[in-house]
Amino acid sequence: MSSFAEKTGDCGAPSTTPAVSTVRPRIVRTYEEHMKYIKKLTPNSWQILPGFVPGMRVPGIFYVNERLEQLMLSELQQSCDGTGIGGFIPACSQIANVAALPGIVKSSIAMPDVHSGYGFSIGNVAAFDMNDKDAIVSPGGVGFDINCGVRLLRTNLFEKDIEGVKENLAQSLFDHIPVGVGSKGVIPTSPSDLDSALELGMDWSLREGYAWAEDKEHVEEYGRMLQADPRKVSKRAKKRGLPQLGTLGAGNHYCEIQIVDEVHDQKAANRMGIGARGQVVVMIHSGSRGLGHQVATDSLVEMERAMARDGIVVNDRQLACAKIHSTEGQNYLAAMSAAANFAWVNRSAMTFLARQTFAKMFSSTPDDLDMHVVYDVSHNIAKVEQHVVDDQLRTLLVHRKGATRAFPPHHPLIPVDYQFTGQPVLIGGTMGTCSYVLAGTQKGMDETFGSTCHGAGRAQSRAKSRRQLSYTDVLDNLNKKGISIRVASPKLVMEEAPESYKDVTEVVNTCHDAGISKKVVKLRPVAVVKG
Amino acid sequence: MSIVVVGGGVAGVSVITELLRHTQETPHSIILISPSQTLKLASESEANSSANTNAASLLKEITIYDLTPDEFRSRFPKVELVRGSVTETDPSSHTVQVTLNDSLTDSSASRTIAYKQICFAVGAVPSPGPLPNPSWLSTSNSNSFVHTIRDAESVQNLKSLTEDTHIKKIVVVGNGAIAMEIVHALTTARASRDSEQRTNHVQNVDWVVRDRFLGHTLLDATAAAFILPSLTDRMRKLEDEFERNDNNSDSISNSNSNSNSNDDIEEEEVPRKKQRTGDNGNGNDNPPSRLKPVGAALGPYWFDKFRNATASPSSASPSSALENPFTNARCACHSCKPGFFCFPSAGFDPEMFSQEEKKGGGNLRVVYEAKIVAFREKGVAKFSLAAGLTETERGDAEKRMEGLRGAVNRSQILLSDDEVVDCDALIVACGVDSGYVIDSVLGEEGGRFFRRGRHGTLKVDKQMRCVGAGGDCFAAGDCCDLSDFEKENELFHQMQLWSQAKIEGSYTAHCMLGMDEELQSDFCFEMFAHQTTFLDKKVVLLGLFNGQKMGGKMNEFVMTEEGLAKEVSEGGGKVGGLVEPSCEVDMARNPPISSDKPAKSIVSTKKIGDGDVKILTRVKQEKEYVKCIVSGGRVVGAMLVGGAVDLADTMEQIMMSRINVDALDFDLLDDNIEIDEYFD
Repeated sequence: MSSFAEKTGDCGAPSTTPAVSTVRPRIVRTYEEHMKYIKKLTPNSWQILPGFVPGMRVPGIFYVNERLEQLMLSELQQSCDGTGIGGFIPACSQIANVAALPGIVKSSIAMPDVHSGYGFSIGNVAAFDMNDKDAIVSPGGVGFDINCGVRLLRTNLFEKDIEGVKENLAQSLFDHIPVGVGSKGVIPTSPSDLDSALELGMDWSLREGYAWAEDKEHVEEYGRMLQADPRKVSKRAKKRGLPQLGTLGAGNHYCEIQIVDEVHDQKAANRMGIGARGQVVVMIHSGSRGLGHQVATDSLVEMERAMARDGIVVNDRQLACAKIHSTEGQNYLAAMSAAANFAWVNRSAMTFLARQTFAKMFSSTPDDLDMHVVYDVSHNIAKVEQHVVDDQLRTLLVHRKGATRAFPPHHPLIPVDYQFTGQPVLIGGTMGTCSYVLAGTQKGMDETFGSTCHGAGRAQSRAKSRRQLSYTDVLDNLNKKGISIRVASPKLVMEEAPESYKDVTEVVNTCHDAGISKKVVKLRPVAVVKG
Repeated sequence: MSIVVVGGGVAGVSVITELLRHTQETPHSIILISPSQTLKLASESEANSSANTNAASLLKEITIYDLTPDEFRSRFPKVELVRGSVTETDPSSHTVQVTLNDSLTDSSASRTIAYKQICFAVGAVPSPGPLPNPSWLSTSNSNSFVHTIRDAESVQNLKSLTEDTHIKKIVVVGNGAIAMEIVHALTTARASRDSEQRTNHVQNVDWVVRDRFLGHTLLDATAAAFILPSLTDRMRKLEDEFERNDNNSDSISNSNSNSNSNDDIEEEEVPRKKQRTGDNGNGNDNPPSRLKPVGAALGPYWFDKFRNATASPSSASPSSALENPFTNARCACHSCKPGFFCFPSAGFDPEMFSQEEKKGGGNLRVVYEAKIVAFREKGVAKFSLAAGLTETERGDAEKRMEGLRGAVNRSQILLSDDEVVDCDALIVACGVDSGYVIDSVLGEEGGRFFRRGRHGTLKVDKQMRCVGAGGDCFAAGDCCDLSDFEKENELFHQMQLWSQAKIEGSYTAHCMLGMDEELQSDFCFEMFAHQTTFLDKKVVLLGLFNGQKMGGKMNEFVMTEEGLAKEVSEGGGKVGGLVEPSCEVDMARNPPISSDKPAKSIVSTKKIGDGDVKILTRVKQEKEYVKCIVSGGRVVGAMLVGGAVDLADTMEQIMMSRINVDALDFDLLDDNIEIDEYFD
């Protein structure tokens, strides 16, 4: 057993005092011993039994098909024999650690695109009982990029309409949208504007004239978290956020022009206005940038203190949390909501810019181009929702980190337009891979708190691709596929190359086969703009 | 009463841009006073250019546009441009005396301008480095063999140097960014000229640097080795030398004693100060004349302009190529956005030099750990001692000079290793100095009001007001001292860079307008961030990237850690072992992933005082170099070179959020984990 497996693994909470009393020691086992606690439930799901890590209150569940399960299990194996990821905790153990948090109900659930993250894995869904006074909220369960999400705009253009101008269109989008870290927003914002934006979310965008009234209808929470309280957002967070309002960001954030490539559910696709093959749509993937990062960090520090006071014990110091009804818990939810509003304002600003670009390019108006928001989903967020657990309707705080809400038809919280189809779910692949539009199902509501995957997931395969492929190979490959690329940094072409993603189709198919969401439309990119 | 801005460099023009942005109805007239032909407009995004390509949110990759006075006037019609030099400032009467440039024949033409508020953005002039007297620099247009590069005009001078067939050997002294660019400008310009004109005109370049590695101010030993492939051999040699010298530690410490690596910009701090007091004291027979008015600093990408000018002399007049760098607006790499240029876009081919050497062509030679101790010009019998020598060095040099009597027909330079170098031109690129230029702007009377900071810069308070000069005098850019901000913001330190000049300019404008709300939410001095490009390799520098503010020993250790340089030369992956015999350093590393996959990251740990500082690095030859300085569990500095610049965003977020990464240890840089995803 190497020294790496013996590490406590409680890395990285932003404090200087190790909260020893609040963290349980880690169990050291061999891979074979670990596997006694992991059982295959169905062809598409596995269960992690209590006992896998100390203190588990509920089992863990992860949805993977045969190909994806190898990735999960080899990661666990590598962490046991010390050849793998050192100080990082494998996703399996992270899912189980979450199952040990106070107040968790039913199970700690992981989507097929799960991979190791800060505290919670990316792709983890966990719900906590609002009526349990000990139940907790954890910033690690939301992530640093609060309300990172995807928005889809439709157009009434077809592929042939943009054939000749594709290059120009990509360049024009690149010129209009501030991409790349450090880019400055084009919308002039004063500090008091920022406070309004944090409080009002898309209502601010609407008031300032950057959004359409009907946009709000097709955004989760109508683009505004009502609990948002800008006073709970630290000054430092606001300072970080101010210059970034209305910017796309970098890393995995992008704006893509896509074509409807396959229609799997014609009725639902028609309802969403994307039922015609060859139709042009625009996908925007962005979040709350530095502001969200600071909100998360601030609350992690606050909560570490609260944990010692309230006697909360966890398996990993990164799982810093506070009782939902404590001051720290409430402060976090108010600040997180404000950060979520920031992200919606951000995506609305990008929507505005994309509409401008198209209108200019086709000498038309965004209205005439039918550039409506199909839907806007959040990947990193915690929300109060009602779910039936053990035949009882319960009020839960559902953490979704790298997972998407996917409510079924007839759910009261989804727009009138989608009452018969189920909530649209937007899954972004990128750089030559396809993206998907899914719809929520009743089975998902029953099994996963109405949640499904969020993207392709990257994990280890990404670094591998970087070693094997050269930047020009990737560019050639994309060119052959007829995809125009505008990137701020050529290196990122490599970084985000399609080959480096776990196959998005693999992930989406697992969700479809498991029945937690169903495929509606497959989208194929023709132009990418990214930081 | 007007708002007066002195200096048309990046800082000065940024002040003006921001003033205009916030005052639609200008209550006072705005006057810009600049002696230069060229004004600098720094822009982060232009109407016709592509979106920004910055690597972290504090980073600004800035495009610098050169404006002629006419272009400036048409772009800023509300601003009165006065071509001239301020010669006297009187804060008590709120006036400045300006000697007008436009009437060169009539030297008495001057004008008094009254101001309501004034902002000094006068920048800096090249430091005289080893020159015994700064007036040597001011004679660079005459027959002197000493040259310096600072502004657009002096680039022209450099061009004429490369074309002069009498100049066969050029010595460059200095080890900062400008020195690096000059050397490559000289060598690359020569290569393109040779290939076009097939001339036999050959120039050799000797590059004299104080340190064991190149690029002292912005790089470290590893980054230098990484960026300059030709250096890997040198590094290997160094290593051998190091082992040989192991028993002879005296010689090492002697040669090191000259390096004040604590000081990043003013490399030659010690020499210059000594020499300045000397001048004032003994009334040198070459009394320091007033320097000729200098233009604004070059800013980035000047070399491309230079190369355009040298490579195609027939296509356009050289001056127009210099004034309009964007006549040829696309970088040859085609991955830069229009108006952005890699440096140098043609790439750096170390082979080029060795091949030319075989043909009997020109050659670049780097003389490491050496300094210039004496010079003599062609036809002069007596050597002049360089400034800032220690007693021992002076004694040695004088002894050596005894044996070198008699006039020669080439200028000669005596190096500290006793080598005598014959040369035809000496280019001094030893950093910049603000003291002289500020002295000349304030005048004797005015000078008494202003408090001065490091290296003669103007001390400013948090509102950028000059300390001691009342509330209406401000300063921005290279000429001010930001130590108050350094004290307050742990991860910020001042460097005289155009990226800082730009943010200082905007911030100062907010201060001048008293925009409290903006000032309270200002974030630009929170953390040092700079992005640049050397030899096609992007470089991102964040926070205390070379252990700045951690004490001289720490800084030196971080910068010269040769164990890491060795990684590069040997292809990466293996760990070198102890770094310096005298230094208590533990090096650990990731276990190999498998027999054919070596570990990708190495970590070295050094304890200083009570704090625990770790240096994490990841090196992949010719691809990327990452260095993180982790202090007390937090990342406080990062240097990202090559492909690693895409980590800039995550690094910045981690640093800004002050996240404790201690338990991750060197896994932070594990190649198999994407930390950007992890911290998503």
